[in-house]
Amino acid sequence: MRRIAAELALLARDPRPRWIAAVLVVLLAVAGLGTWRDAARYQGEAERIAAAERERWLSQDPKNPHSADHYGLWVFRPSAPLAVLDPGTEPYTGRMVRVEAHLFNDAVYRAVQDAGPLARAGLSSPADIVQLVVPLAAILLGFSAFAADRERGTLRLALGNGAAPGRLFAGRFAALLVATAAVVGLPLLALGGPAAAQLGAPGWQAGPRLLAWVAAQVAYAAAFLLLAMLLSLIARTARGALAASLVVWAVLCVAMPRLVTAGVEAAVPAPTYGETRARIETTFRAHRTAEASDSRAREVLERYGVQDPDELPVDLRGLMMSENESHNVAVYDREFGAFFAGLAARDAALARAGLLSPRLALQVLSQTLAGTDFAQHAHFVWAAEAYRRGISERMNAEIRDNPQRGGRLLIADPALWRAVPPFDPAPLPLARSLADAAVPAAILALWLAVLAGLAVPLVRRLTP
Amino acid sequence: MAGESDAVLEIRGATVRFGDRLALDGLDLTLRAGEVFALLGPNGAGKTTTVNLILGFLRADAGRVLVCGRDAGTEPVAARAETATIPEQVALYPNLTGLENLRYLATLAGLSLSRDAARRHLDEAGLAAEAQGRAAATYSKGMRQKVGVAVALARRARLLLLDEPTSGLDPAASAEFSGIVRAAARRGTAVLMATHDLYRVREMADRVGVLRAGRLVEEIDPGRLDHVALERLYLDTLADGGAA
Repeated sequence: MRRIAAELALLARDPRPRWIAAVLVVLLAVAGLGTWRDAARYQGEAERIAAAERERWLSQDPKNPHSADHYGLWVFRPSAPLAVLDPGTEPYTGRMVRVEAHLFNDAVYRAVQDAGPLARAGLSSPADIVQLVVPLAAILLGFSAFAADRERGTLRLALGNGAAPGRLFAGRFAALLVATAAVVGLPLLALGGPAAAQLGAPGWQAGPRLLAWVAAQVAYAAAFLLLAMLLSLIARTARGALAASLVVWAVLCVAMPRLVTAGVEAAVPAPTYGETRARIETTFRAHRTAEASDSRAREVLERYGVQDPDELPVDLRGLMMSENESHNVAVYDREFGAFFAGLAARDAALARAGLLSPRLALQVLSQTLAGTDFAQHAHFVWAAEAYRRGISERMNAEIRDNPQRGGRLLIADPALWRAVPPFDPAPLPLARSLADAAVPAAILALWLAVLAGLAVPLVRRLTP
Repeated sequence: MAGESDAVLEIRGATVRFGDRLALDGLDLTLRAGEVFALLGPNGAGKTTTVNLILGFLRADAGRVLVCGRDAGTEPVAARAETATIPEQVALYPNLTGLENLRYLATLAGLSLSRDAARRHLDEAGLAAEAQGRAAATYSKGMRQKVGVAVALARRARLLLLDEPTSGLDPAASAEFSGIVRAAARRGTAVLMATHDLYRVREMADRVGVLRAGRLVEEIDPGRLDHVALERLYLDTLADGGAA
């Protein structure tokens, strides 16, 4: 502890950490306040429109339940409270789904459509800043750890007067880690804490998510700190250590994520949304022909042993709608199940590709912990679909169980509309997010372990 | 493995090559507690190589170096724990004061030095009280050297290595430095001093070794170094550019 305190005191005399902290705080604040404003605006809009939609649904005129099913309503994806820190896939995946009879609709209203120039530059959120700029900050803090001492001659004085290289490295790393954790972690906590408190909703467990998320960002920064210190152990001059660190940063944070993402897309093929829709339409067309429909009606009459639909104890149209819905559901489950499974497999491959770039590991880990990953989106889409199916089932059951004779249509009153509960989806639980985060977290830990392992022989051989 | 019982430093057959060049050629040297040994030689004779070897910054291609029984080649950290060094150019952390530099370097060496104790060491090294609280960036070479001396004093190491310690010091500071080294030797510290300063050698050293092309070619009793002998030694060892 005494050594760490001494290193911190030395660091405190260096104006560099203060400048780095100031720049980082400004960048994080600008990005964070922007995402916070967007999140608060979206939450307000979503709450207002959801209430209006609910009111519109409840105030429908009396009508046939199937017409009400077609009348439909919009449902909204609740934004994750930590989207303020890492919006993840939220801006790209759509936040509203129209719930209506027969259709498994795509989510629409992608925030990225309204994005400003900062977002297009890839620096729109605190997570972007952490992934791209924080490694630079860690490098600027760590590159001179030994190379500057070597260049100045203080390393000779220290080692020649009994400083043990291992303890020197550990003390310096600990002090720089404390500084890094302070300049990275504190602004993120200061931003994420109030944001989570304001935007938090039950089920998100925003507090534990925030702590885990910030810890992941600090671990990522620590990896680059170690990397810079490692190069500082080897380099003869501080300038050489800085140049080498910047080259490694460009490879790991800029070039590798792009190359690896393209590689993963090629290596793990997933069905596209267009292809999936086309397959569904093809299947439905074969099912919806007049001949197929007549055949199914005849099969129902045979099943009940009657000749005339009016002799059925149930409403034929209601029953056939229910059965058609069951067919649609099976097709949707199969096709969209394969679609989402394909994207999940690609995400898993991307997480494993974090072995080639810690930025990729952090990206997946960050979105998962923030609750803005694709798994949360898929969970919402299926929740909206389950809600849609519940409404269709309720409407079809009303028709089926109230047979109307002589071709008349059942007219339902608002009591039926009120029987449909409001859409209130729960997010994927924290336990599930933590399980999903295990692989990228382990990979990030592996980066730290490998870098620390590489440092051991270099520290042992440390000379002025 | 321990060597001679009271030897603080033992160098046995140490050979160091830099490519084709032989920097040290089977060097043998033993230094006991309280002895001051001056290593004389022209530039390139192997003086700094010898210091680096003792500090474990270099590995011998042959032979071995023991500091208080610890092999500097295989256990450099343990060997350095018994050693204090004052290099020719003492470099300090420019943003810290002299006092802070001393306390920081002491902490790195595992010592806890109070402000008062640090001030005492700096006083003993001859750094003016006014300078002790000033940023080291403003120090002259002599002032930095004094902080280096204070670091060495604070260590109370059994072996003190001095590499051209009086280079750049004014005569008064050099004389002060001689007194400090002698006092350290009286306390039982073994001192190895690589230097060109023949007059200080005569003042400080108990033994003088002449190093040429990596070999210890001559050992001289400094008590016999009169004016004529000093001049001969200068011409033989320093003024010839190291030609063997």
